[in-house]
Order: sequence, then structure tokens, then C-alpha cells
Amino acid sequence: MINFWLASRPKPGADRDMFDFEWGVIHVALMLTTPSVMAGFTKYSQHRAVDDVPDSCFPYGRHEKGWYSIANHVMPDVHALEAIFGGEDYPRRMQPHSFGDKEFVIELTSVVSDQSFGPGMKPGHGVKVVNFVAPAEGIDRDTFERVGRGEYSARIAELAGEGEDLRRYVQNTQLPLDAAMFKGTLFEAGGVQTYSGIEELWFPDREAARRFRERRESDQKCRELESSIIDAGRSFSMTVVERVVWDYTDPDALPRPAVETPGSVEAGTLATERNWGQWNTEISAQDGVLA
Amino acid sequence: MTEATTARTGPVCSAEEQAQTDARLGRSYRPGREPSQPLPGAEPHPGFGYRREEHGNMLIERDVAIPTRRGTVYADVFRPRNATQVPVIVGYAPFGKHPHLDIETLWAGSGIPFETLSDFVPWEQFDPVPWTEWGYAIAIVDGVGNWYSEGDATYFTPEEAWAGHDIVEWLAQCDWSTGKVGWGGVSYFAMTAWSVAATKPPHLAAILPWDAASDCYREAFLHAGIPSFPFIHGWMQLTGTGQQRVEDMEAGMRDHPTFDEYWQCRVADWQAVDVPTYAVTEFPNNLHLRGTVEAWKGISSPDKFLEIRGDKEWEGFYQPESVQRQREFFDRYLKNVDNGVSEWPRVRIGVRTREDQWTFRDETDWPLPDVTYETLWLDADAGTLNTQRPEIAAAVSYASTDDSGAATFDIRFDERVEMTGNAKLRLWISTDLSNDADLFVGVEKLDQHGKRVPFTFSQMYDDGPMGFGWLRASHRALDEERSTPERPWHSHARRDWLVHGKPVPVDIEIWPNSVLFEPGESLRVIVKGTPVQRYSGRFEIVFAPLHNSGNHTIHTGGEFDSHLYLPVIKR
Repeated sequence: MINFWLASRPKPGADRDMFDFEWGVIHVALMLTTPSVMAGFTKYSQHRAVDDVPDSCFPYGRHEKGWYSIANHVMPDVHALEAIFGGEDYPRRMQPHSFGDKEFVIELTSVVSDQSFGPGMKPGHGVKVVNFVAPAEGIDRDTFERVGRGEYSARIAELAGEGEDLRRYVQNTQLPLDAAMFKGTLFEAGGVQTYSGIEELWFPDREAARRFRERRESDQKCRELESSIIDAGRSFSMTVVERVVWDYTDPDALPRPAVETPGSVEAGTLATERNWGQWNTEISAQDGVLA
Repeated sequence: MTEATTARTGPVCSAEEQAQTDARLGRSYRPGREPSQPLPGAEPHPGFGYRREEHGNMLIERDVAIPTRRGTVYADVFRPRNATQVPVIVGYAPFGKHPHLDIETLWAGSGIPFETLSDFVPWEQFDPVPWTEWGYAIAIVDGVGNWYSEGDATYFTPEEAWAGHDIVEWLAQCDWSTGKVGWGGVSYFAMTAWSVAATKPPHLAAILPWDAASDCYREAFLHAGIPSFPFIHGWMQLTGTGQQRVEDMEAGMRDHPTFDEYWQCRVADWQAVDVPTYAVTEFPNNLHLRGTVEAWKGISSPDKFLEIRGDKEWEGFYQPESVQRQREFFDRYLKNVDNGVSEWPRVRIGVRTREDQWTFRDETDWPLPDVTYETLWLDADAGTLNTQRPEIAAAVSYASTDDSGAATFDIRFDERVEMTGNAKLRLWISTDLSNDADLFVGVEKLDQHGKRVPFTFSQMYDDGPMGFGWLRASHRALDEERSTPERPWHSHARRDWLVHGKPVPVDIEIWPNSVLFEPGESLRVIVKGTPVQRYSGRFEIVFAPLHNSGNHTIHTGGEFDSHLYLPVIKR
């Protein structure tokens, strides 16, 4: 499984409630009824930055562009992404729905480690700190990966202890991604592959996030490991709430999306859709087939 | 020096044309480094302007202005004083023709016999003191846009080749010139020989490319798809001096990760090269070996000679016996001396045994006409190479980001075996974290006691593998027309990403080689996700950023036909 990440924000000056509605309802409805999207993304999560979270809750600074949203799409392999963006129904159904800013952070990652501590965390509960980390100057990818998934990850686990504060820690490593894939899509102005990895840390609340950050900061070994591979100045953090929109990474967990089921209302509705600019054009009677 | 005019053929290369070409190909530029600013660790420029110097019987004209369609370029011309009819040998490169590098210090360990060189030798070039004594002029040119030469600097481009064409024709018409012009030198000086000769300057009479990569995407910038950004960053420091703009090759690598027209235009039309050619390279050379051999094979020159040595790049070029052969070659084709060069064996190879031990052997062609191929099957379970294909499927994994992570496959020879030619390694590979895999392959020799035998490697090192190859797995698609069973040719036109846990076949080109194995010695294939061996110093080709994460797994036996296709000479 690999993850396709998009961090973005409402258009400058736009109403955030409207962005939430467009992204949370309209966009999701479009995804659910777009076959290539549902065939490709086995899990889809939305994250929204929490208001008024003090800087003390997260290790790196906020991004200067003030990102608000993070979408995480889980898929079996990168070919799913190629099938979506290179397919027929994405440009017809999803592309015209442009509701956010044109700028994005775009990353493709693989999960290196996923550790739960204490009672763990239910999806959608508490807060989550997401760190987009850039490599320290002069650190090659091999070293970044080796230290990051080795000593550094182990130290975070030690600091988590019995899960009083940190309940789950996921480390994602960057994968190669072809920026040309997004040419002509809503994401073509995005910054592709800027960060070497993404950390996800789940906490029961923001106070727990603050305490863990303090523990992390006061631990010399953790600090040394971190500074040896991460450029804090070029990294950024977001404290978010998570909404897992769907998750059928376990194929038995949920029924398949209705749009994939022939004879369903959703599939039938899709079949009557018209291409962009052709909604009011006439279909020749010779081409039509009576039901 | 008299002004000469040339009737120009080929493209105009005007500024407008250049801008259109740049836009079409997606070229990027950066401001040139100011010529008056010395490179780190180098002497400052001695000052620009035409002047004459005399040293014994050698006349030096500094900053001679040569008009080209890309603007005026400047050359230092060394020639015998008072001589009126001499052939001229051109060296063209971006590094700076003025003596500003402390060669003995910077290139310590390169094996160069410094004591044989004069104080006037330009780096990677013919020493003008003996050559002027032998009746030649040597013209060392600062490339278009470099140092005080006019224009924007581009590297290995057709526009550069046409400027070279103009340089040849202008020098041919100087009043002291016989009109016979040669082109050559080492590395950049040699690489331009292919492209300039392909423009067919009427007065170009012979070329001597000594270590001349001919496909800079596949051999220098992105070895088999793996970028070497740190190496090219250092190279740009050396080549990026100029008064206007210089092409930003780091940006080029970033913007053009696959082989598109940006790179294609930098590969000369080898078939168009028809002048006498003496091409030289070394089996240990991980930069120029492949390109020198491939271009030599492709050129149509009736008189063409290939020499593949066993020593280091600069070491070989400056050996007295090498200099003697260089002179014999140019004597034959620039002075028409009947000295037997036309009857030289077409190919001369250095057959290696260990470290720096090798001996020349004459051959009629490359690949050797009597080469046969043996298929050695990989067995991941036993870590062996076998003449029989294993029936049982097996797999071996290694951590792709650890220097210690590797898979090895050995075969011990019971009789004398000579491996000479191109080899291919087919691997079935899968990954568990990344959607790509950067593969580094080394071929090594083990002595009768199983101890690794080091070989001369690259340009400066004494402790390398005897053979090498690379591949970025997402670039595994082959150009079926150009591929042969022993030499896969990757198109690099698209990227086929890997799917976790799904094995795919990849064919890895092992660059040409010639090594003798005695009975009891072994051949070992090493596959890693990091360089086979790490070195230090400015000449190491450092590959980064890599696409590796997690583990690589190599699958053998059963349905997985992982094998080494080995060139064997039986005489």
C-alpha cells in the first residue's frame, strides 16, 4: 500500500465553511460515484487544521502558506494513480470541480512503520500532528532512511512509553513520483516531492500533544538524532482532526462502492451522465437503444 | 595571424534560433561565474587579451579570436616559431585554457608521469612543447560562452559542434596552417570530437578521442537512469565560468529525468563520422568506457582504431609509449607520413588478470568475432551461479539503503576462462517499500583462496570491482531494436513503477570487460542498492538521490530466469 498526499487550503479570501462543504460533501460525493477513483483508492482520509492550537503542540513551524487541509489517499500501487489521472472519468467528473487553491504540497509515500501504544486510538478521535520533514543539509536519502526508520523511530517509541500521550506513530518515506502525471490536472501547480518523509502522531487531545512535544524536545538523544537527519527550518507541522471517509483496505470490512455494482442506482445514474459541454446536445435516435 | 573567412554550412545558430531551440527542448541557464573570479583552489585568470610569447622554438599566441556562428571564441595557439606549414590539433573544452589548476596536487594518485610533462601542458591535452618540436600547432579553445568566449555556454549540444566546425575551418585557413586539422584530447576534449566530426568540416583530417563518452544521459549524468547530482554539481563548478549565461545541467537533470530530445540532441550522429579515428578508453573507466566503444562501433570511418586499456584515464594518456602512438597516428593522417599506422590492428585490448596487471593483445574487431556466450543461472538459495537452471524458485533479500546490504552469486572455474566482451545480468526483482529500485552491480574476481582481487577502477582508484553496471528499475523498458542478447539497450523513455511484492524482470548492462580467470579462481556478482564500494575525493561519481527504500528481493529458479550472460573467449 502506498499513500498519495495533498496539502492545500481554501482559495485566498474564500470562505472556509464553503471550502469545508465543497471538500467534505460535494468532492466526496463525486469521488464515491467516480469508478476509477473508487477502484484506485482503498482508503481516503481528510484532515483539517484545528484552530487556535498553540505552537507548543507541534515540533516544526507552520508552513508560510498556511495549509489547512491534508488529503491522504491509500492505494495498492502507483498505477492506480496513473489510471485515475490518465483515465476518462476523472477529467470529466472530478476535474471541473475546482474549489480550493491552486497550490499544493504533493507527496507519494510508503508506510515504513506503524506503532500503537497503550490503548491506541480510534479513527477520527483526538488530534493528530502531521510533520512533513525535509532532510538535513548534506544528508543523503540512504542515511535519512536508515537513521529515521532505525534509531530515530525507536527513540520515539521509547518516549511514547505506555501511550499516556502518544497513542500511535506512523512513519512514511517518500517515493518517487512523476510530476508530469499531474499535467493538465488541478494539481499541476503543486510542489511535488519536497519532503523526504511524513510523520503522523495521534494524541487523545492537544494537551497530550503539547506534553509529548516537550518530552521530545527535552530528550537529548532524540534531539540529536532528529537534527542529524531533519532540517527543522524547511520542515512543517500541522495539528489536525482526521476524518476517515472510507476504508476498505481490508476487503471484507465494507461492501464495495455501489457505483462499481452493475444495476445499482448509482451505476445507472452514472450511465446517464453526459460529457463536459454536451449536456444539452441531442442524441441521434439511430444511436439510441430503447430500454 | 591572418584573418580567414569560412563559407558556412549547417544551421545558422543565431540568437533567435537558439532561443527557440532552448524553449523547445526545455533548457535552463544560470548566470556564468565571473571569469576574473578564480575557482576554489585555482590560480586567478592571468588576464584577457591577445599577446605573443616565445619559449625556445615555441611561439604562443594567447587569446586568439576565432569567429564562429555562436560568437567569437578565444584560443591559445602553440606552434613552432617561424614554421609556415604545420597541421593543427584542436582541443575544445569549458574548463579554462589558461594554466590555473595545480595538476600535480589535484591529480595526485592518478598515475600520471608528471616528470615527463612540461609546464605548458593544458590539462587533459597534448603537451605543446614536444608537439611543436614535432611540427604541430596545438590550439586550445575556451568553449562557446566559457571564460571570455562569447555567447551562452551549452554542453555537448549540436550548436557547440557547429561552433567546433567553424573553429576547424578557420584554423585550416591560417597562413601557417597546412589545412589539415585534427581534434582530440581527453574527456570533454574527446567527447566533442564525435559531434564536431559528425558535422563534416572539410578540413578535419583525423580525430583522437581519448575517453569519449558519447551518450551523456546514459553514461555521465544518469547512469542507466540513476542520477549523479553531487557529481554533476562539482562538474558545474568546473564548467560554469562565463560572461553571459551557462547551461544549468543540474536543472536539466531534474527537469528531464527520462531520455527525451533534451538528451537525444547531445548524441552525435556517429554514422556521419568518416574521418580516421584513434579512440582510446579503459576497462576500469566507469564514465567513458561505454560511450567510446559504442561510438567507435557506430562511426563509418574506414580507418578506425580502438584501444581499450587496463590503466587509469589520465595515466594512460600521458605514458610516453601512448604519446608516441598519438604522434604516429597524427603523423599518418595530418602529415601523410607512411609509417604503418594504416596497418595497425583495428582493435587492441588490455587483457587483465588482477589489480593493475594487464597486457595488450591485438584483435580484429570489437566485440571479438569469436566471442561465445555462456548462461550462468542465479541460485538465491545457494548464492551461486550455475550452468544448470535451478528448478526450485528461491529468493534473497537485502536492505537497499544499507552499505552492507547485498546479494552475491559465485561460480568457481575449474579451467582457464577468459571473459571478454559485454555481459548482461537479468534479475527478477521486487521491493517491499519503494515503487522503484536503484540497482548497483559489481563483478568481482576471487582468488584460489576465496579472497577478493582488487582491480584498477574509475579514474583514480586501485581497489574496485573488475566489472560494473547499474539500472534504475523503473527504466527497465528496452529499446528492442537496439538491444542484443548480450547488451540491453534501455530506451529510458518512460518509467514503469514497481508494485510492492510483485517481481519484474530487469536486464542490466555490464559494461565491456576483459579478464582472465585461472583454474580455482571465482567470479562473483554483487547486487546492491548502494554503490558497490565507496571512495573519497572529487573524482568519485556519487549517485543521488536514490529511489531505494526498504528491501530488494531477487528471485531465482523456477519461473524466474535470473541469469548472467557471460562473454567467453575460447582459443
